[in-house]
Amino acid sequence: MQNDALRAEIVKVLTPLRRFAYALTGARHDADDLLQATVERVLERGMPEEADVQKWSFRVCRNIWIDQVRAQKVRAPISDESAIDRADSHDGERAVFAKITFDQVNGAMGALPADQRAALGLVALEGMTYAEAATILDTPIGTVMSRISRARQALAKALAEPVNPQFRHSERSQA
Amino acid sequence: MSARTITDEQLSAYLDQALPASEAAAVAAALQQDVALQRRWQALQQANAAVAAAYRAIDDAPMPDSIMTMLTPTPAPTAQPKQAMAGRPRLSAWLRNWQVGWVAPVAASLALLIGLGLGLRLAPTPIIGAPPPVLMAGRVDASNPIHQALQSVPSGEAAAFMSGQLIVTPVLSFVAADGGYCREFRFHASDQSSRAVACQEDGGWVVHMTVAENAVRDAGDAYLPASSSLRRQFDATVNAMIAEAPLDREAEAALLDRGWR
Repeated sequence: MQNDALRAEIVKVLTPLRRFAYALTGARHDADDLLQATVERVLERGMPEEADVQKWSFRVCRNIWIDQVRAQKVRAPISDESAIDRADSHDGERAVFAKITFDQVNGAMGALPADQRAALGLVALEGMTYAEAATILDTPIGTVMSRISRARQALAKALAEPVNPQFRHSERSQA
Repeated sequence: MSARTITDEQLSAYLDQALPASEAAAVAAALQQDVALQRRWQALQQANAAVAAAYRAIDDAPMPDSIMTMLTPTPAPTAQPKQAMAGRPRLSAWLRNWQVGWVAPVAASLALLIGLGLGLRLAPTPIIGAPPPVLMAGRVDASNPIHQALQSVPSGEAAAFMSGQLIVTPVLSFVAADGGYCREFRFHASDQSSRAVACQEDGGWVVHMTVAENAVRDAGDAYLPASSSLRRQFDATVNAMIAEAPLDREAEAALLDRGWR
C-alpha cells in the first residue's frame, strides 16, 4: 500500500485505536504516546499486503504496550482526569461522580492481567467479535472467550464494592 | 440447561452474542426463570458498559497535532491536474480559498476528527436540532433534510429547508477508494456553518466527519480556539478519500437521477 493510502486508512481507525490505547494505559497522555508510537511503527515498517489496517494497527498497538509493560516503563495506572474535572467545574457534582466512576473502572482494569485487559478493550469497548479479537491478539478464540469472562467477573466484583469503604465503615461503627 | 449449570464464561459469551444459537436459547430461557442468574448477568452488563463509557471519554479530547502531522499526506508536486469541470472549483483551489478559523464545539467534537472508522461502529444517528445544530458522524436518517439534499441537490446549488432555517450546499461528489460514492457539503443553521463529508452506504448516507466553519460557543459561552490540525485533517481526509478526481457534472447528474445506485 502506498504511504499516503496507508495514512488515509490509519486516519479512519485512529479514534477507536486511541480509545483502545486509553483502555490499555489508563491515562490520557500515555494513551496518546502509545498511539503515536503505534502510528510511527505502522508507517515506518508498513504492513503485509493482505493485512487489514484496522486489525494490524490494533495488533501493533497491543504489542508495543505489552513491551512497555514488560519493560516496566509504564507507571502504574493513575487517574489523570484533571482535564475532565476542569471542563466540568461548572458542575461539581457531576465531575465528582464521573471521577469516582472512572477511577473505579480504571482501577479494576489496571488490576487485570495484561492479556485480559487487552481482550476486554477490544470486545467491550470496540465491539469486536471474538474472532476479530483472536486475530489481533494472535490467540485462539477459546482463549479470548475465557479471558473476557475472567476480566468481566473481576470488573463486576470490583464495581460491586463500595465506592468509599471508609465511609461505609464509619456508618457501621455508628450503628 | 439449568441456571446453575450456566458458567460465567457462557454468560459472558451470551453478552457478546458469541454463543451458538441453541446454547444462547438455553441461556435466554434460564435468564427468564432464575433471579440469581439475572443478577450475575446484570453485573456483567454493568461492567461492560462501564468499560465502554470510561474509555470513550477520550474521544472528546483533540487528537494531538504530532499524530495528525504524521498522517497528513505528503504533497505531490507532480500531481496531474484533476479533470474538474468548468463552473466548479477544483478541489485544490477550493481548499485554498477556504476560510476556516474555528472548529465545532466540544459537543460535536466526537465527530470532528476522524472518519469514524468506516466499518466500525458509528456514533448515534446524526441530529439537526435545537441550537446549536450539530451534525454528528453517523447515519443520516432518511427523514433528515440533509439526506434529501445529498440525494437530490447538484453540487454548487444551495437548498433551503425548514423555512430557510437550514441551508445545505453540496460542494462536490467523488468516488472513494473503496468504490463508494461520497459527497462533501456545507450546511448552515442557527448562524453556524459547517462542512462535512458523507458517503453512500446501503442506500443511505453516512456522515464521516463534520467541522464547523465559523466561531462557535461552547456550553460555558466561551469561544473555542481554532485548531489548524483539525482543519488540515479535514482537508487531508477528504483529499485522501477521493480515488481520482471529483465527479464531473454529467457523472454527478447521472447519479442524482439513479438515486446514487
